[in-house]
Amino acid sequence: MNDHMICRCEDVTASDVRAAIDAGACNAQEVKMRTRAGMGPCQGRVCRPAVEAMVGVTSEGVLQSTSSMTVHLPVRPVSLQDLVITREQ
Amino acid sequence: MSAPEAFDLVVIGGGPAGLTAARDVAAAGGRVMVVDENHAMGGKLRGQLHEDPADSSWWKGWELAEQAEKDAVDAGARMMTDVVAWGLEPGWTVRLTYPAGRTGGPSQLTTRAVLVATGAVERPMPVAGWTLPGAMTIGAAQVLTNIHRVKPGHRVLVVGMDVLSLTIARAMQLAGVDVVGIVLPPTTVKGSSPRATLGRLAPMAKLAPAKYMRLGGHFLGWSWVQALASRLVPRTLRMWGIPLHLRTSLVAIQGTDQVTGAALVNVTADGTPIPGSERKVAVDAVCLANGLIPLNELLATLDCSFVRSPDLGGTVPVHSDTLRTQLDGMYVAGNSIGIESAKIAEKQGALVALSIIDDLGLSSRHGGDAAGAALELMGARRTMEFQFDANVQRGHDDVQRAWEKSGDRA
Ligand SMILES: Cc1cc2nc3c(=O)[nH]c(=O)nc-3n(C[C@H](O)[C@H](O)[C@H](O)COP(=O)(O)OP(=O)(O)OC[C@H]3O[C@@H](n4cnc5c(N)ncnc54)[C@H](O)[C@@H]3O)c2cc1C
Repeated sequence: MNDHMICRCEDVTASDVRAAIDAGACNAQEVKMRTRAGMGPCQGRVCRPAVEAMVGVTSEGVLQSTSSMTVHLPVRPVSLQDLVITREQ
Repeated sequence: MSAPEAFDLVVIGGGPAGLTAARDVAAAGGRVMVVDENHAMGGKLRGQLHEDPADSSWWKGWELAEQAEKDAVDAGARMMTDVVAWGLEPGWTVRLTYPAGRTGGPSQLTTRAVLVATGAVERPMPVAGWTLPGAMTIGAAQVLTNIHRVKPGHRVLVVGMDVLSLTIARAMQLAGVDVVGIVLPPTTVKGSSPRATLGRLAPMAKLAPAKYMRLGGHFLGWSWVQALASRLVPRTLRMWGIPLHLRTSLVAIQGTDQVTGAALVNVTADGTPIPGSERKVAVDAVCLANGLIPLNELLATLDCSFVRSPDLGGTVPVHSDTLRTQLDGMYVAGNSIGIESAKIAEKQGALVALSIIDDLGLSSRHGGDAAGAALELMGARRTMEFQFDANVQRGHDDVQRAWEKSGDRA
């Protein structure tokens, strides 16, 4: 009943995330490394807050990033065509 | 290939914040380009329909969006839709991609200044069945109902109680949807207990008492005001005839190929499920409202710091009260720095334009200085007829303190 989807892009369920936490993952980035949650096309835009809610967000104050689950370029899926044209310019 | 055209300002996100800033900087003589991933400008404004508590007129977001776009274009700003900004490089270069297929647009823009006005996204509410067809976020229901004029379902359950879900439940009702009720999120969702929920709704009643009372019967009836004033959590309240089940939580969304119902349970004031109170309700759509989060993925790849603030809805880049960031030529405005109404986003757009005009050495036709506009914005916030979070100013104050500590520019 409780095994619902967390990361739709990579098919990671709540029990997968819980297992990662039980195995020692202590922030969203570590959950991502163990489960692939957040590694799909949307790059965690949807599941990041869900994973953070499960693992618990502790950091406060001024941070160096928006989340422990890192954000990388490109922040959205990019077509190869657009990348090729970018290089040519 | 020819050298890419240079702009004074590229605005990422054509919502009320971005369009207002574009208008003012263009009017001051700046070369401005607005990019937006939607097929039309206006951002979240396009889906908004509610009775304006300020004067009981109807707030029709799509009309305001069209006007805002027209004003910006008339002032000389250029617009590109169906284009996504996927990266920023200091100097500044904005990298673009075209998800709907390329139509000859540039793959990058070079510019002296960038305004990140990317708005907010919805916080997901993972629960059993939330990936079934018929289960959607409350924002999706708003887009279906108000933009596409399609009913999200015939019998709809709304989950989560906040300004947005109440507003959209009303919009669906007006569109002829049978909104069977509004219940609380699953007990596993942080802050979803009846007491916590009422605690968040209560300050709304204090915001602008006169306006609030004027809403009398239809917006938040008397039973509401009384309930909010007392510490007891009533079982059910009604708003526009829609039952708000203040002591019922969602357990699971049901169905095999499509939503056919939802399992519910009664909970104590602190959110503990009451055994034996489980029941089912037959619906063909469930709308999940779990709040909004500022969208800052573009800035997260750059060398700037952030403040986590529940009052603002999430993590926002450190910025000054005149909406400058720690990076030269990089500005922020709108919901990407805190969840607020469209009226505030528009004011932030006008404010950030003054900072940009000043920094770029353009001259504003209307005059006005950013520091003064920043104060005005705080005043507007105090008298706003509704807020997504009653403590939003506290969140902005925290950010301002972080800015002052970071000791950059003022
Ligand atoms: C689902 C939802 C419903 C809302 N309903 C209401 C309401 O009823 N009343 C109210 O007052 N407020 C509502 N709000 C709050 C709303 O965000 C503000 O009213 C207002 O629209 C914020 O303006 P903005 O300019 O900051 O951002 P938005 O209006 O959100 O505009 C941001 C724009 O940026 C674009 N964008 C984002 N990232 C990129 C990118 N990388 N590349 C290109 N384009 C990009 C988006 O497509 C969007 O058009 C709602 C918010 C949400 C999320």
